[in-house]
Amino acid sequence: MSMKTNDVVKLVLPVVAVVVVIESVMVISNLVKKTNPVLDIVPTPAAEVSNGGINPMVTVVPQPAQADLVFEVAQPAMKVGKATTVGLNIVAKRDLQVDTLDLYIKYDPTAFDIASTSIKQGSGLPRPIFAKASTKTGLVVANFLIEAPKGVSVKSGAVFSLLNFTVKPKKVGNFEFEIDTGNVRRESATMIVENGVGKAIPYSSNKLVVSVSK
Amino acid sequence: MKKTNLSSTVGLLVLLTIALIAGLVLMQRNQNTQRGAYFAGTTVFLQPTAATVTVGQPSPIQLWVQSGQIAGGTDLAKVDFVQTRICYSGNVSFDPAQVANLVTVNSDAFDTVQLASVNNNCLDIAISSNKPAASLKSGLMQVATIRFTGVNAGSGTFSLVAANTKVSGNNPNASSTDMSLAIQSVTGASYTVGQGTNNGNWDVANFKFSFIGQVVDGQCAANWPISIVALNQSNGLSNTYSNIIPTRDSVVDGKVVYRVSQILTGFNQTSNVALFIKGPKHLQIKYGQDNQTAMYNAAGGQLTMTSDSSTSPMHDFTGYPLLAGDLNQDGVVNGLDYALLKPEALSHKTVSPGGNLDGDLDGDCVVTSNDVQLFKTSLLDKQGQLY
Repeated sequence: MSMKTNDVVKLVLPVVAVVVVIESVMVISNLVKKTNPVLDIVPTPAAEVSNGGINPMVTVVPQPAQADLVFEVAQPAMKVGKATTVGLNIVAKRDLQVDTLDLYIKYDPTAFDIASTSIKQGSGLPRPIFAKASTKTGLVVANFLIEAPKGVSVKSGAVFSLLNFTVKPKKVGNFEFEIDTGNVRRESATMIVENGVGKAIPYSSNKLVVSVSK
Repeated sequence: MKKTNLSSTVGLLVLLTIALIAGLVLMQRNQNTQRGAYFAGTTVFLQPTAATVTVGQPSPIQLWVQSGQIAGGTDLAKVDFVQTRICYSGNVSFDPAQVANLVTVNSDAFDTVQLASVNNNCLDIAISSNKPAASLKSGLMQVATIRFTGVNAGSGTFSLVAANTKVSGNNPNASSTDMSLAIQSVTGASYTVGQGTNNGNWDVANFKFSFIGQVVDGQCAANWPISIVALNQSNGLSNTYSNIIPTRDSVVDGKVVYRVSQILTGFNQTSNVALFIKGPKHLQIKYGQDNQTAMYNAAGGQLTMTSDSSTSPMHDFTGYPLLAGDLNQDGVVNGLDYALLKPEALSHKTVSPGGNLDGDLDGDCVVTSNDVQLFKTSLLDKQGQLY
C-alpha cells in the first residue's frame, strides 16, 4: 500500500510542480506595468517643428561613394574644328535601380561648340526630358525621368552609358569637363536618385582633361 | 523513517496543491491587467466656442478637460497628461516657425509641453504634469492656451480629433494599472476673422493668381496656403508672410483664379515692389509687374501699392500661374521630387475630399499621369529659364 502511494506521489509531484511554474509564468506575463499612455507621435523638442519650419542643425556625415561617374573619350588629344564624342558612364559599386538622373557637366563654352541636338542618351536609358548645352551657364544639362516602376537597372561593376555628346573645339589649349555638384547654380547639382528609396546615391567622379591643338 | 518520509511528501503535496489552486484563481480573476481599460471618463473641449479675431493679430484659444468619476468610486479622476490634435479649416494659421511659442500651459494643473507640431492644417500638442499625485487637478481644468493668427478675413472651425486625443491620470487604485481616461466627447470651436484696421502704415497687396493645372472642381485644392515675400529692390527691404489662404474668385478660361488682399505688416514701400509667391507644392515665382505672363527676368519690381485695400491696385498674375512640382519644398524641381511623385502615381493614390497628397498637383484628390505631366511641364519651364 505504502509502495503504491509512494509511486503515485513520485508521479504527481513533478507534474504539479511543472503546472505551477507554467501558471506563474502566464500570470506574470499578463500583468501590465504602470506606464503613461504611449504617444502616437514621437515627441520632439519644442524648438523643432515640422512643415518646413526651423530644424535643428544636422551634421552631414560624408557617405562612401556607391557609384563612379566616369568620362570617356576616344582621343583626349583633339584638333580645332574636328568634332569628337565625349561620353559619361556610371560604374556602380552595387546593384542599383535608378529612378532619375539629373546630369550637369561643366565645360568651357568659349573653347567648345556643343549642339544640344548632339546630346544622346545611353542605350539603356529613355530619351531625356530635358537636354541642352547651355552656353549661358557653361553646362551640358540632361534630365532623365524613368517611368518604369522599378527604374532602370545598373549592375554592379558594369560600365553603363548615361549619355554622350559631340564637341567641336574652337581654340588651342588644355580644357576640362567636370561633373557639377551645384557650384554653377544651386539647382545644377548632379544627382542620381534610387528607386524605392527616394534618395540621391553618393557618387564620385573624375575630371576629363583634353588638349586641343591646331 | 518511513512515516517521516510519508509525512513530508504529503505535506509537500498539499502545498503544491494549494499553489495550483491559487494559480488557477489568479488567472481567472478579473484584475484589469489588460491594456485599454479606463479608470474614468473625460471630455475635452475648446473655449471660447466662438472666437473673433483680426487679420495679422495673434489670438488665444484655450484647451480644457473635465474628468469624470473614478470607476467604482465618487472622486473625480486626477489628470496628468493630455494629448490632442486641433485641425483648422482656413483663414487662420499656427505659424510653424513660431510653434514653440504657441502653447502656454496652465501651470496650476500642468508643467510641460511635450509636443507642439504643425502639419497639414493640424496642430498636435501633448501636455504633461510632473506634479505629485496629491497636487494633480481633477474635474474641470484648463490645460493650455494656444495662440493662433488670423491670416485672411473669413470664418472657419477648430476641430478636435477624437482619434488623436488621449488623456491619462493618477489611478488611486494601487492594484490597478489603468491610467487612461475614456474620451467621452471632444468639442471644437468656430472663429471669425475680421480684416481689422490697418494702422495706415502698411501696404496692402491686392492680386489675383492661379495654380498651374488646377482642376476646376477639384476638392483637394481648397485652402492651399501660399507664402508671400515682398521685396523693395531699391533698399533691399523684404518681409515674408506665410500660410495665407487665398479666396477663390472665379474661373477664367478653365483656370481657377484666386484673390488675395493681404496687409503686409511691417512693409510700407509703395512703388518698385516685387512679390515672390509660393504654393504648398509649387516653386516660388517672382511677380514684378501687373499682367505678367512669363518669368520676370529683371532686378527689382514695378508693382505699386497703397495702405488702403480699396485703392491699392489689384495686380493680375494669372497669366503666369504658379509652377507645381516642388513636393519636398526645397525650392527646386528635380529628381528628388519625381521620386516622391512616381510611387503615388503608379498606385493612383487617392485621398478623401479636403485631404492632401504630396503628388496631387492638380487638386483632384488622386495622383495620376496628369500630375506627372504637370510636374514635367514645371521642370521643362524651369530648366528652360535657368539654362
